[in-house]
Amino acid sequence: MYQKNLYDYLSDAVRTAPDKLAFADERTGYTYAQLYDRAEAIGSYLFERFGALNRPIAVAVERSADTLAAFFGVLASGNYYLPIDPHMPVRRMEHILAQVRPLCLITPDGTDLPDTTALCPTVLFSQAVEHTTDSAALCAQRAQVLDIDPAYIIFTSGSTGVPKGIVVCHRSVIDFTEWMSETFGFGGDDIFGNQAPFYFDLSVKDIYQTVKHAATCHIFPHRFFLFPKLLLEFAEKEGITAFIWATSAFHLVANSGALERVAPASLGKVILGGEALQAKQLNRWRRALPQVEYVNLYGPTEVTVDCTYYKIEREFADCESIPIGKVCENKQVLLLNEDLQSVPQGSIGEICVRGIGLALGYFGDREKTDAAFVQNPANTAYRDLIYRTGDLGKINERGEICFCARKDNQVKHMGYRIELAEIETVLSAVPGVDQIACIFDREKDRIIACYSGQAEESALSRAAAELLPKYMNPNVRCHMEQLPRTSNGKLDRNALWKISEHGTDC
Amino acid sequence: MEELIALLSEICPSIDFENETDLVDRERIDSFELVAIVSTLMDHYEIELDVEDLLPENFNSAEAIYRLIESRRG
Repeated sequence: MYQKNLYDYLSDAVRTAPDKLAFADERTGYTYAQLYDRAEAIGSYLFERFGALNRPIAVAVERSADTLAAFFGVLASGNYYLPIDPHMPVRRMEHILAQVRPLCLITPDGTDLPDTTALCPTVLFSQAVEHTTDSAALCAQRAQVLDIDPAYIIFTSGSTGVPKGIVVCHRSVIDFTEWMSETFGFGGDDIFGNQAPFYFDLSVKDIYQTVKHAATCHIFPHRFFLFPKLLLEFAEKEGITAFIWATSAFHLVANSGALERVAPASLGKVILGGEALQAKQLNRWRRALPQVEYVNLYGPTEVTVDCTYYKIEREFADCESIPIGKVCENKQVLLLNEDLQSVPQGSIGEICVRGIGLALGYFGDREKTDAAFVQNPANTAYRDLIYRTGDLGKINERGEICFCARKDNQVKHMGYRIELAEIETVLSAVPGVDQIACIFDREKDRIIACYSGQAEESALSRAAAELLPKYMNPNVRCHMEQLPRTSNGKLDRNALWKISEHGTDC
Repeated sequence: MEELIALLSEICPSIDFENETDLVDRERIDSFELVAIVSTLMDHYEIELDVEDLLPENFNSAEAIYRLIESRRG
């Protein structure tokens, strides 16, 4: 039977492999039967308390199997989940909750979360998971959910200083999951090693590949990525077969030197995404683990995880850039100029994407949705949307799509997508800051905040820590008498670079 | 020790290195900060740190980091 709701994957898995380990973290491991029972209990609690359909429910995420039980519980109840990083600054969390107004926030027991009860009620995981199950009521609820209804909302950085909530429907995720399974040949014997936090859409690949195949996924603890040797030893011990990771984590492990000490022989596939893959780091992995199939994926959250892929089959010199390859099944990539006309073969154009994977839009923001999701200019006959990624790409002589640059000031840092303008907006509000501009040093992977005015550097650090997620905090703050301007008065980012690198003020 | 705390505070301004412990176990340090800490220690104290030194117990507090430096200097 074809899938209509992401929850169907779990219902199928529990029938075929009830006693198989589904997800395990450091403390707990759930078989499919245990995961299903918990999801049904949580779903029943949500249904009885709210009786709602197609409404958002926030989940404070941890690196735990309980978080996944909560996600599936939300889906079981016919609603959609909004993952919340409990470590994000309080004001950002409040902003997101105020914008979405979820029915409730499911929180793990013992988490030290800020009090957000003024925005939505809090439900303890332990409270929901002990509820009596009413599977018939849940089935009736889900029967009313269409595959074009939302499955989750994931928030990313927004250029105006306000994070954007990207709403993705069941059909988009199912379509992507099926494509991924077929293209990379995953199966029930696979054992995944999860790196991506569950508030990051990269984790969608781990979650649904695992459940689709009734496979097993180990949720790696945070400290594994600080101490990669522990990670590789664990992967070897557990017979991990696939890593689906953020590229930055892959680079980090390559840099650590741990691969030269431990190379897990069970590993068969390493699938990367989130930012540009560096050939130098890839080559380190290939030297240590030549048997592994490496794949570079590309795509913003708005197109449901990814839209292009590149299986690495040839050699790359350390300084070469790795293509993002070819388009995923049931998606189309168009390279368009500013007037939304196709660029000539080999020329650079904005990467625009068509297909069922397109998100439903930005939650509660019609204006931003309409600016990013626009009518396909090649079709005037009926509604046919494309998503403008803001990324510039071209087709190389081998016919592979290559990422070139961003059109704007969005950067990828630590695997996260960041609008530098959002950091600028927050820091410009610090008393004593006259002018502010952020630049990104790709080589050293750091954000540099250049500012003028009387503000103390510590005031900028404090504001960043209070208002922005940790990965958006500038790594370097650079005071200048004046920010450089071009002759027509625009901020001169090239000059900013030179001053921030060599200026005595910094 | 004071000098070390100043260096660490520059990398992780939100951590109170004088008083906080269990920095790894409580997820107070992220992987990028750890990389920055390791490279700063190597540069500043002119020591070599091997992948075998990269263990949670060596980075859980400023004191543990201090002990690590001392052991590599000695």
